[in-house]
Amino acid sequence: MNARMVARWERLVALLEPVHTQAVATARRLCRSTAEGDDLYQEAVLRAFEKLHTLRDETRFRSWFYAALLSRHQTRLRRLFWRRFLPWEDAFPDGAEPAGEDGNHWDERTQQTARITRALATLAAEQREAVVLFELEGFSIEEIASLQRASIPAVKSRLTRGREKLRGWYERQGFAPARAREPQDRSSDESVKGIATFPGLATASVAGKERSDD
Amino acid sequence: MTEIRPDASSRGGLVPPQFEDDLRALGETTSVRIPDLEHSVTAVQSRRRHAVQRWREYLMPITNTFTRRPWLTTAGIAAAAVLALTVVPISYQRTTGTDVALTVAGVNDLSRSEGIANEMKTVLGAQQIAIKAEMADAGAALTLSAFVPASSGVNAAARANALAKELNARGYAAHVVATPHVERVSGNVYAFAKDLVIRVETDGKSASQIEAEIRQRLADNGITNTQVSVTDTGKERKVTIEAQRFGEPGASEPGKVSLELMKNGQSTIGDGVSVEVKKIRSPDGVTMNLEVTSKGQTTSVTVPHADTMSDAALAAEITSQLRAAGQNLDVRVSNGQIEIGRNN
Repeated sequence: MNARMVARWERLVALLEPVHTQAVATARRLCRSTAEGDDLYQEAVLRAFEKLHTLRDETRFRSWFYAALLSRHQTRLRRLFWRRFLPWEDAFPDGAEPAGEDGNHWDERTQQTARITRALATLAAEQREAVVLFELEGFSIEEIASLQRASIPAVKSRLTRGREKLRGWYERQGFAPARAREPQDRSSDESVKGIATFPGLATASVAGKERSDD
Repeated sequence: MTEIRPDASSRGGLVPPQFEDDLRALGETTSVRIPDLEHSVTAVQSRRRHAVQRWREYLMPITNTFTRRPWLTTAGIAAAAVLALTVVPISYQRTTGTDVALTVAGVNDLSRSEGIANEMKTVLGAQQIAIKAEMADAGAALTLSAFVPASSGVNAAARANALAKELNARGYAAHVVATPHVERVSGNVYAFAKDLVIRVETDGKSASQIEAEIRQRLADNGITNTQVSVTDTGKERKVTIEAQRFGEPGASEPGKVSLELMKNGQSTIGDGVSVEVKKIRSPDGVTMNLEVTSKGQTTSVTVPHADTMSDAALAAEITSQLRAAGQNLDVRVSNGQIEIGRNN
């Protein structure tokens, strides 16, 4: 490796240092398995290395790298269409729990992970990214819009549709009660349109006006 | 413990509570056993090296094939060059016809100009005639100009000269200037080569008809000042074309134009002996270059100082060089005129 390459790798490693752990986890959450997630992360790092000269403002590296990660994610999904037909046994490992973990708790966690991974796999790539980045990674709607190169309403729509689809999946699998039907009498109060109630959750309106997610 | 966005109610009640727990579980299971950065980067570097190596592995058999078989490389380059030449357009000059300028002096009655123009139009088969009139004491001088395309097959110079002769006989002072109309065109090598071959169909034509056609086709291609002779001698037909060109020593040679005689649409090349003689005069003397084609084999013969040699010596020298190239032909030289035929 020549000196220029070495310098470029050193620069990239320094920039990756603060985001590495979270980015690996994000990549895994977007994929169907740990191995696939790690592979996606490595592809994103390789892409970042090849395009590092285009990064002008290093303070914006996190967004820049995540945009590259999402881009690779979508490319892989298009390329690896056939993978969705593979069995789920190889998804997130159900092997030995990490040291210090309660075995039963870990088993339960593994089952839950497998369930949500399957649920997320039913979403379109952009919807899955929006849900994972918003729910788990703590990105704001504006940040996701920037990463996905989409408008804010588009991201909101992806989130809403993604959640609807997830709920449908949970219902079909018997993990959630069927959604309550809309009341026949709509004259009483506009704000109660489409009310859905779940045990343990507050009642909320899903129609009428756009909610603020942040 | 992985933090998920709090307050499920903010999701508009769209997701079931199970989703909350599952999200947390996903957060937890994906956050363990994260490879350290150094390990990840090493893996990426290794992938990159392997990707390059894979390319080398793909390319290596191809490179080896060409290294082991140099003829394949040459054939490949030649094929690519031929392909490029047939596809890539080149710019070259082509004679597209003849510009004829007929000058008629002493026209006292300008109303006759229209009649002369119509006559010229009919004789040349031109689409239009441009007329320019200049007044002088002895009457008007008309210049009638026309373009005759080569594709029309008309010997424009000969016909215009005949018209001028007739006008002179009527009392006008007519003079003709016929110049080849050269245009720069763009086309591939095939089109260029096609333009440089003059094909003359000989079937059912007499020697004089063929002679006239060759002369006309040469003139159409801008080759004037030629002597064309076609003679039938029993079973053979002899075609002789002589052209002279004068230029400074070292000046570029004009493009080569080939004559191909056809019979029933088929080329007669290979049926007889084709001889191309070129005499180049320089301060050192005359160098004679011959290209003799017989039975598909072309032999180049160069005879320096040909002007100082006797007919017999010249014939002997040409015969010697032809034999050295494996061509056993009958060479006869008479007063500097070379005739080469097959030995009976």
